[in-house]
Amino acid sequence: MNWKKLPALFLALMLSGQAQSDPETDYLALQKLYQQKFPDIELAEFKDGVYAIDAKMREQWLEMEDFPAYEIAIDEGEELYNTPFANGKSYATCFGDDPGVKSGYPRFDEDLGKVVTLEVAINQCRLDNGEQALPWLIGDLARISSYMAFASRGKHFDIKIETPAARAAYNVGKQFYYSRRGQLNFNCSGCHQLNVGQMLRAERTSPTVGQATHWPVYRGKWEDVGTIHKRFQECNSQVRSLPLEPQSDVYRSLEYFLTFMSNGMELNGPGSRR
Amino acid sequence: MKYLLIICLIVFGQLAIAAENTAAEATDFAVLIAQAEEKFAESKTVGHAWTVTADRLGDARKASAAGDMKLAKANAKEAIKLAELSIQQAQVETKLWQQRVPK
Ligand code: HEC
Repeated sequence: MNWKKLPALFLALMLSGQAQSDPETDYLALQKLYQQKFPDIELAEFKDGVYAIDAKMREQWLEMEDFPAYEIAIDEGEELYNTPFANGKSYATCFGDDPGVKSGYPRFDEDLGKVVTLEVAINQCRLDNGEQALPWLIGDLARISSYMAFASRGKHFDIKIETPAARAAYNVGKQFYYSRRGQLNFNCSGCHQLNVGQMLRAERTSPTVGQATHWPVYRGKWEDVGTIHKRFQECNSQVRSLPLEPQSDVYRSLEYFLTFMSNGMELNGPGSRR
Repeated sequence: MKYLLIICLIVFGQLAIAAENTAAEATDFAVLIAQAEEKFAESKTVGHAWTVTADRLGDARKASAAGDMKLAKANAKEAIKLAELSIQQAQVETKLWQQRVPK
């Protein structure tokens, strides 16, 4: 044994340790965490978020789901989706005959070197066809996205992270999720993993796994369906961290990471939440 | 007559000092707010800006517009302090975040 080589060996070990922390490993470790915290709940049930872990809240929610507030959004979204652009083309020109494509989003676009979320793809389709982009957070874009989510119901997330560039984007999202921020010095995992299920004011926090399956979401507070980036902004500002721009590179990476943590799960959007 | 002259001189003197103070306070504030803006921008660049920093910056500008330079400066100083803390948070977190990833 050449002791002079020890630091190099140590470094190699550390690096290999990091290399092991790939998306698949993260995903399995997270599943293990929730199985330990909620041994009686099947992983697949986490698609209902906080309503999977709180029976009383679930009861109220199921009553709401009898006449879901997002239904109008789906109808309006369908109409928008099927209205041709001024150039005669339509969303189907971009997405194909089946609007139920959400199971493959976000995806990493190698040419752009960026994460493409479903909302980005919808607006890109508009721009490519001479239409203006729609506002990101609530409104028509979220309605179109709601219709596409509805058409994707029953499918399972099939998110791919296959190249070094895609992995790098994933890591940006992962680092964001585990970094403390804001004056209150919280990280996402503090509320949604370490203290998952605990009451915070009138709310109970949901597990990370399953958080991506049901977007867009209708909330009474928003009086509309909103995209997941609206929720990111809210979770940022509640710890006094300045929210980022919707669909900024970092939020896109965050959605990429978060959706991969729901990979393989059933899509059940749009959803309703308090 | 002599007394009146002396009083006049004193009053003018006071006024001059007051004017100078206001001017000095305005320059102080300009320096502070520029510094606060710079730190805030830096905290954004490192991805850890805080809402409260933006709030104090807004308060500082509002107070300055209303002519309350003392309050304006206090808010600008607070904004600098908050921005510095958030930059510190960014530095610490580049190392600590990995420890929180479930294994
Ligand atoms: C201070 C605690 C706290 C922190 C920190 C926090 N959240 Fe949340 N989050 C909540 C609460 C409370 C809710 C609403 C209840 C629920 O569904 O979890 C919520 C909801 C959500 C939801 C919606 C869940 C659903 O089923 O619809 C998402 C997504 C989410 N948070 C993501 C994040 C991300 C990403 C971060 C970090 C940027 C984060 N949260 C940080 C408390 C927090």
